[in-house]
Amino acid sequence: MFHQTALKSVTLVILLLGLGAYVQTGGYYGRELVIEACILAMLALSVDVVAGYGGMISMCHGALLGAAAYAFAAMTALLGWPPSLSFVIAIVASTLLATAIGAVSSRTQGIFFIMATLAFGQMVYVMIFDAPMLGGDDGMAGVKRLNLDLVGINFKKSAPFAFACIALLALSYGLAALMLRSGFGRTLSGVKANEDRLRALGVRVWWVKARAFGFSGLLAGIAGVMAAQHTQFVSPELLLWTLSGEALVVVILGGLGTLVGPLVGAIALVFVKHEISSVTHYWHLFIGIALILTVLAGGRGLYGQFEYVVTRARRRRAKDHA
Amino acid sequence: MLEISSLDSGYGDTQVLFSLDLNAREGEVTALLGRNGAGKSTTLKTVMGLLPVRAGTITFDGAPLAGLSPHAIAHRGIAYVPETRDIFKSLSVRENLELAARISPPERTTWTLESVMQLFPRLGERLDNGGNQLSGGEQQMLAIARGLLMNPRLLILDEPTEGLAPIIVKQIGDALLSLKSSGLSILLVEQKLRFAARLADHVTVLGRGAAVWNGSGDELLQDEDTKSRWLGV
Repeated sequence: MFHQTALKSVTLVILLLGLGAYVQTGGYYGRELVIEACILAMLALSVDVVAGYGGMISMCHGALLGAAAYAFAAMTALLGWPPSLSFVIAIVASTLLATAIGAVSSRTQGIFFIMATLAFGQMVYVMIFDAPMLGGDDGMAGVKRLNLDLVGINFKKSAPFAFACIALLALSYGLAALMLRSGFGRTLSGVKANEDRLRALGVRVWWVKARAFGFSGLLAGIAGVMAAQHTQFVSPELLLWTLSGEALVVVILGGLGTLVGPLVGAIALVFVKHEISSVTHYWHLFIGIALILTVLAGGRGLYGQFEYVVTRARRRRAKDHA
Repeated sequence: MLEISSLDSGYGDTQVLFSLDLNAREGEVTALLGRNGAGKSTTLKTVMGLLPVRAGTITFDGAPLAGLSPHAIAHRGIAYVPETRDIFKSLSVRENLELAARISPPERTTWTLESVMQLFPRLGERLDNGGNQLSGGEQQMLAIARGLLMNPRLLILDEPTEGLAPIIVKQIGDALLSLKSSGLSILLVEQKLRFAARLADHVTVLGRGAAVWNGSGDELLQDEDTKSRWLGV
């Protein structure tokens, strides 16, 4: 069950303020890193909702992000629809797609669930890749950004766009926390603990899983439309299963089932990747070693380990006082 | 109320129940006794749709249950408290109870958070404790309370006293007697003969996957042959 502890709140605020400060001081390159980290964090957050709290390891979240990005790109670049309307429709589309994938995949468990989601992800990839109007391997350019001139924000500049990404990351976190603290969130954690028990309590488990997957698709959809607006270009790379894998790596690196962990993992991955890749091409090696160490250290992830150490120290202090 | 007729069931290649007949009547406590491996828990799991019916019929108020999913069976008004209790350990006592209360149909309001806490005052003291911080007895109370919050018409209990201290067994027994006097129908699986005989209106003894004896609790207590042959007492 999710609890928004003081430690989580403080960590979240520090992370968001830190990203904001980097937007102000890091120059253009720094802002690009912040945008990349925020989009990856939103995707990882969506994976953590289903994997960390519902026990559903998904390999199709890259495709959900990509589907939302393509939907937004098609509506703005091909159809000429207003970006604000396209923004909403693309997110609704990824939510519905995720709900449908969740409804079918939830009939399976364990390795079969992973394979089912992977298959759905690949189907989305192939359908978009093979659609001539969507540009195939060449992708699609000319994607528009939201027009916020009315409120005095020039969304074409990198700083306002980076701040919007931070705000949307905070919003995504808030939505996920609210969902997980609700009665539905409790039911979802029950699904993770014991599906059969919940069935015997009268719960339609597949529908709980499908709705959780749909909610997760909503978060992935937000990440997708921001990714499309960021580069103003979409390509099939956004749909690759390796992106789903990267999101899963981020969640495990940061801390599965912690909600703050995915943010920590995404920021760490993006910044470490860029720092190390300027020195060597073998940056994957360092991420791999970090992942192995994380797993060997108890699998709690960076934030999970930090939370574990702080909680243990608090308990020891309370014991000493008693 | 619940009628089981010529039921065959089991796990994988292993058949456990062989043409079992069982009847749980409305407003009564029906106890199912038998040695380990006799098929008691298998019967309950098959009723709840957790194991498939291979042959025979199960009806609840005349409507067949075979083929229905566990959640659909629960919505018919059957609450199942398993042997393993299956408390959600990541949830607090209150959250465990609220989860079950969410599923209760709005027209059935006999059991509320307040009334289950009257039945088990201990739970009221532990509302904000995690499910992982409860003793075995408290877990059993929570499991029964969770079943009651579904406002069932039939409560199925699988060995509710297993592994509990005598004083807790007495508390659980008193609570079940209170439920019996309220008119709730109960199907009870037990190993403790005297505990079951004290509660039950009707007892069925299971042996090798079939009903081998039927009668009242008092009759069973006096039937030395059945006790030694089928219950090992």
